[in-house]
Amino acid sequence: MMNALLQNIRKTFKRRKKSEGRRSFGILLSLIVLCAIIAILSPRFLTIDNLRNVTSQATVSAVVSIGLFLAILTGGIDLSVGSILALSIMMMGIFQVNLGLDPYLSMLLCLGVGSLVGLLNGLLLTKLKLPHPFISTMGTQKIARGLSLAVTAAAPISGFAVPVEFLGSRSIGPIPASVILVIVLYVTMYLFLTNTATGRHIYAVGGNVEASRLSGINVDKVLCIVYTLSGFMAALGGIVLVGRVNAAYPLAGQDYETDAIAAVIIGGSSFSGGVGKIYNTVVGVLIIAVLRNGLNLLNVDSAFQTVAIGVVIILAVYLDVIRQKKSKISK
Amino acid sequence: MKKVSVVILILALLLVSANMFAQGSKESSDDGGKLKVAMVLKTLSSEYWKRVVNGAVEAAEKYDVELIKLGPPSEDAVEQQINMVQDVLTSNPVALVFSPSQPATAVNVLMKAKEKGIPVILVDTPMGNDFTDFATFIGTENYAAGKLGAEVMIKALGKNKKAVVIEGAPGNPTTTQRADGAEEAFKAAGYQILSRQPGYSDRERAYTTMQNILQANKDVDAVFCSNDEMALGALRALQQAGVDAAVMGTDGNKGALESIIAGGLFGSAAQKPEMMGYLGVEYAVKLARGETIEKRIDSGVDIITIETAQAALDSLK
Repeated sequence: MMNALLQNIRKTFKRRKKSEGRRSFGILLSLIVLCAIIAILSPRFLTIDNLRNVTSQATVSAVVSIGLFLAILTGGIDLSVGSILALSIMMMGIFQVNLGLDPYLSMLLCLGVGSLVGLLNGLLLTKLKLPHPFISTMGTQKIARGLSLAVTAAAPISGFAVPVEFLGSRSIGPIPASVILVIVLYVTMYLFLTNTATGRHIYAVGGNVEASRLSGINVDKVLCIVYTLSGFMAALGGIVLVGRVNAAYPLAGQDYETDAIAAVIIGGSSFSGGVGKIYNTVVGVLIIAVLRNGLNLLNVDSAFQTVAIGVVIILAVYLDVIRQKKSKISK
Repeated sequence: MKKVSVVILILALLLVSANMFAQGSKESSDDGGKLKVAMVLKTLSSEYWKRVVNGAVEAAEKYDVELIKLGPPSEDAVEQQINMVQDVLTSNPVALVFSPSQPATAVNVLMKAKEKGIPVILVDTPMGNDFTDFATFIGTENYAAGKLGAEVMIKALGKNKKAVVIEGAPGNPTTTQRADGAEEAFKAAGYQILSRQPGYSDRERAYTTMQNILQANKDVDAVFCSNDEMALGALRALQQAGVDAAVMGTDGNKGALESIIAGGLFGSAAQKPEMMGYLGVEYAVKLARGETIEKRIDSGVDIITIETAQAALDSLK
């Protein structure tokens, strides 16, 4: 019976492969069309200076979105990433600037804080059996945000050492270090998801929790790994942010979860879990970043920028609905 | 495929129409050599910041310069504000008029502006000690605003009375300086300071604080508050306790002006946001012409009382 189930899962994967390729192409095409339109409207868009700006502006969101991609892949959600980011960097500020600890140790502690809150999300979901991660991560979102305001009585921390700032503000050759980090992270995550047992289990849990459980996958462990990774990525994104703005502030990361969710969904992941490609998420992140940057270059009111991003989310999901209908018909 | 192309078409239309939403001038390579001034504020979507924009637009029309104005949807969106500064610097404006949401976060990007040789004009909020290479800071002299506000009350009430001072959160330089100025003026006129306490810039907190002060002493003649919200809260506590004291707020907000007209607040020490925007653009033009400017420019205060409140309220509309 177990074998039959596993085979069934494999079959679904194979069937998905074809439409998956077409989907990735569609998402990439949207980005290219968007860039082309903006380039026509603003001659400044394609300058080296601006392209460096856009890519480095997208990096924090790109790192944070990895966590959301994983959570959504398992059919869940992580609303706490923005707050975890803030708490992690505030603690890093206290360790490195206020207490004078070694910068590298402080960064490790920062990643530790993020992972720990992420693990807490996983445990709330699997051990306390809270009904949906929407609730558990909303709880930790409030807790982490409140704590990050409390640790310094809302004051920002600046004066970080060079190693901490490196990721966010330095370049290796002509390429910002943060862009290289994002490339490394996405390649690693792709290999992790496709070539390791744990990676495939994450897809399986998202596809069908019961079937996964019956086929011997430790679902609770997989979920804990996913939420811990999400917390880790939030903290890592935080380190990049600290480098970019040269300070840690308790309101950092406000609303980053909505941007990240938007990027994952624009990147073609299914909200019901089990479907999605990590490399499409980075395209989703770039679509949002290019849109914001383009509208800034065109001197468009930020109120309209928010409207535009809303429209793009709806269009992206609608494209997906059309595609799914088509692939059903073609079957 | 038909539907897919329809969606892409909508996207294209969206962006092209976005261009129409671009306020005022569109960027283009052939703008006839007009000076370009970039302005990035904390947000564009609140009353106060809209007034700053109005002043800037007026100056831009007067001096015939192209004004790029950007600001995130809310004052919390700190990283987005930094991104906007980054984006606007690529258009090589003659100057950047800027109001930092979180001064510490803006240091890196302002250093970029400095490297590019684009002078920075700060409005409303100064930078800390990490960035001192700005061209000028245009803003309210908070100490003077508090002092002037208290002096107008003293003039009406006479000397040697009793006063209460309610400030913002401890450590907030803006509200603390206003309270310092008021306290100084009261003391100079022989007033007894019954109490000076934080009201955290919040109406409800100031209401409670004033209630507590009145528990100890109902003999209050004058109350100075570091913003209008707190003044309205303190006023409510005084009215409920049946104490007739003059209350002065700071900011000149709509609610405060209406209260002044209705006989509630005594007055409000109003900042001049339009003036900040106007001076921001004016000094950008001066810099472009090679004039040297002072490092600190006071945008002034208006003490609004019953005589001037109606006119001030009309000018807000």
